[in-house]
Amino acid sequence: MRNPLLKIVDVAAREYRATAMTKAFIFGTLVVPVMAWVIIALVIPLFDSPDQSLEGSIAVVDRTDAAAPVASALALHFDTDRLRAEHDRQRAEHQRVLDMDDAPPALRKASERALKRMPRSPHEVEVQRIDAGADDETVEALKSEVGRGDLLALFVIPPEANVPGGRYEIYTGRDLDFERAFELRDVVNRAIVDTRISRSGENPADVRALVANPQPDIRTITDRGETDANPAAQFIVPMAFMMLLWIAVFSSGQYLLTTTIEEKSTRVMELLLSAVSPMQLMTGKIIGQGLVGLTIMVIYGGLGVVVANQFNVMGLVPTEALPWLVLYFVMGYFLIGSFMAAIGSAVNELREAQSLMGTVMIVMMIPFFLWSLIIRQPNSTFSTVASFVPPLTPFIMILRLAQTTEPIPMWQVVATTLLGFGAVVAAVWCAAKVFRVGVLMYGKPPTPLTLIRWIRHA
Amino acid sequence: MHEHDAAIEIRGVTKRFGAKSAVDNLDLIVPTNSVCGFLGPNGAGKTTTIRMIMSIFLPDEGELRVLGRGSAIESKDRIGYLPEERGVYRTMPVGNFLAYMARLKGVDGRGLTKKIDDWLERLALPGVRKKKCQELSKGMQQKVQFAATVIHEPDLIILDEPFSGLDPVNARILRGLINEQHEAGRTIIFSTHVLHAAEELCDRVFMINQGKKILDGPIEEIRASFDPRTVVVSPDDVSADAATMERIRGVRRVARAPGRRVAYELHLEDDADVRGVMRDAAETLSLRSIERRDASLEDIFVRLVDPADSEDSVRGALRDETQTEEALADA
Repeated sequence: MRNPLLKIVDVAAREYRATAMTKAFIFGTLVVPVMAWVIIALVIPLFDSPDQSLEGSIAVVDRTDAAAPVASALALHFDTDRLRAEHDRQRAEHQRVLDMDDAPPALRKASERALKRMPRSPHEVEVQRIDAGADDETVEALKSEVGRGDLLALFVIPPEANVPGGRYEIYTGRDLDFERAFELRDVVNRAIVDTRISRSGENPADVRALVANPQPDIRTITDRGETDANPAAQFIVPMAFMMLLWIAVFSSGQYLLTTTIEEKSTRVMELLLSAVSPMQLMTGKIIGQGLVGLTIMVIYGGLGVVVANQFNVMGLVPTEALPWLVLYFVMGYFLIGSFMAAIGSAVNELREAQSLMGTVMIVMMIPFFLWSLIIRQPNSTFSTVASFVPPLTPFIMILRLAQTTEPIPMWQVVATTLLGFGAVVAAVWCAAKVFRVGVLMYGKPPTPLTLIRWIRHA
Repeated sequence: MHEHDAAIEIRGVTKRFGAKSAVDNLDLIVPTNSVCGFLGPNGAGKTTTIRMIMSIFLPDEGELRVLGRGSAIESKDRIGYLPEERGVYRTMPVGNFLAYMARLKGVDGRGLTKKIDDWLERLALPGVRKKKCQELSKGMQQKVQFAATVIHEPDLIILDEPFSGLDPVNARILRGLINEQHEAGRTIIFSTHVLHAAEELCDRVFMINQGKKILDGPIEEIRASFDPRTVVVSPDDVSADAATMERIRGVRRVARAPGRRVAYELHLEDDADVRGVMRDAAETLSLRSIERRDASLEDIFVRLVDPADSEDSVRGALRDETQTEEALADA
């Protein structure tokens, strides 16, 4: 008599091979993310290509006052000598960082990228000062020049622009991208505001210095000590952990559902039951598809690490939460997988499973509704109570543990883990009851109440 | 019969599905190395009994011993079971399917490929090992399922409707293989509606109706014990009048004997005296031969089973959804 455990291993191995070693799985799980990653890898260098230098003319009809401060500001902005000096200074500065042996990797990478993005030569833009008294016809002619591409842009600044809330006009042609347009707008805005300040009798430089925002150095102090408050680390990383867990649990649960239905609908089930008991069959199937889920998690997690590394944000990933990710996967998968196995055994085809899947789907969606609430206040009463609701436990707890601002009391980690795995035992027990009855039950699909009756009677 | 001679021993087994008893206080002993035909109308309780033998269902009452052990769970690897509801993994290659089933039944991996090839050869399925199961015809899939049933060389083979869906050629191949397994010393029990196949293969038959045993014993004894209801006459005169034969006292109906040009079957009334009919026939007609024919399994089946007991009435009761659900939950 073959060892019953080896039979479970045989069933698990077949489940894994039949699911994870198929073209559909390889394409869906591996090829699509790899393609996305390859595309990102190809696109990122495009952002690192040198910016184009602006070459051409800008026309300014500056009616603010006789001194034409906007035109002067633009002329100063595009002053060839100033631009060249600035260009050379920046290049030298970045080169200096690259030449340093002890430059921090992040700084070195930033300098490398900045050097790659610097235009090969500074902008060469001529600022045409148009007479403030230019009539509409002249302005229309200038606008036509912008349309033809003869001018990069046209600025028409009326006297009203000097009044707080005043407006002015910018006409840009096809050669001026939105980034440069914003840059020019900032120059114009600054010149107009400086004019207003000067008219009020103040020195613009002094006023600007006074109103400059102070730079806060935000630190979070918790039981863990003092840490940088990084919004990405606080919100995106826990969400990414939960998504990873969710995708792995849900995908493998779905595979478990479909393979069970397949075995039932192709009538191979009773042939299997001649060799293994229903419990051995269910256990083998759950383990096999669990390994598929772990594979998914490793693939997506690995790609996540590669991408985080590429974007130089690896420091934000709380690596200490990774073992919890595996633990909560086991908990979440066994909870959801048990339901899936039970439903798969009870129905005759996938379509019939949809009505019974409703409850499972609602439970699976709850973490998405709660994640923001949990991350903002990971130790609130709500977060704590939600952690003790078993189907949600793995998802809520991974959110709480992957955030870096507040430590979670260890007693809660231990208690929720014990409760979660207690629920796993109960779920597997109930699923086994349904499975034993359901696998040989053909005909009308059962209702949720029928499933409960099977659990009570079996 | 001694306990150690029995491959299957069932004593007082009852299985209820809700209020309906699918199997009622059943006793059965299947001797080792016998071929036992398991007969009965649809819904009589054959598959339920087989599933209890396989420990897929547990009996509500009674005791079962299989291959000398308390249940089939303890000796699953020594049993080959071909269920009535059977299939294959559609996208799995035939060889992989057989290897998987063999491994689950404890067959060692070494030499398994050769064993699979041998079986496919014997089943007239050469060269299909790498084909996906779904590429095979239904009959070919049936043969693959049979190979999966016996590939681990079990001591006890249970076949539930093994001939359903097979054409005459493949049915003959399967009959040959069942005979081979019997000659190799294996105990075989199979349920079937193909009564002539059961007659040809079985040394014992066992019949149930509405969950109760109505027949059990060696096939020759059973046939001998049933009063023959047919006399076959072969008149000298090929133009002999059937109406004359019908006038013989005790003859209910006259029919041409199949396959014989000048022979007639005289089907008798239930209370007819066979010897009297034969004497009267010999006196009335000029005969080349006259013989008494033993009851066939089909005759016995029809005589024992009330048409109302067949599928419609029994399944109708089982089809009651609530009963079925509760019953299966009890299983």
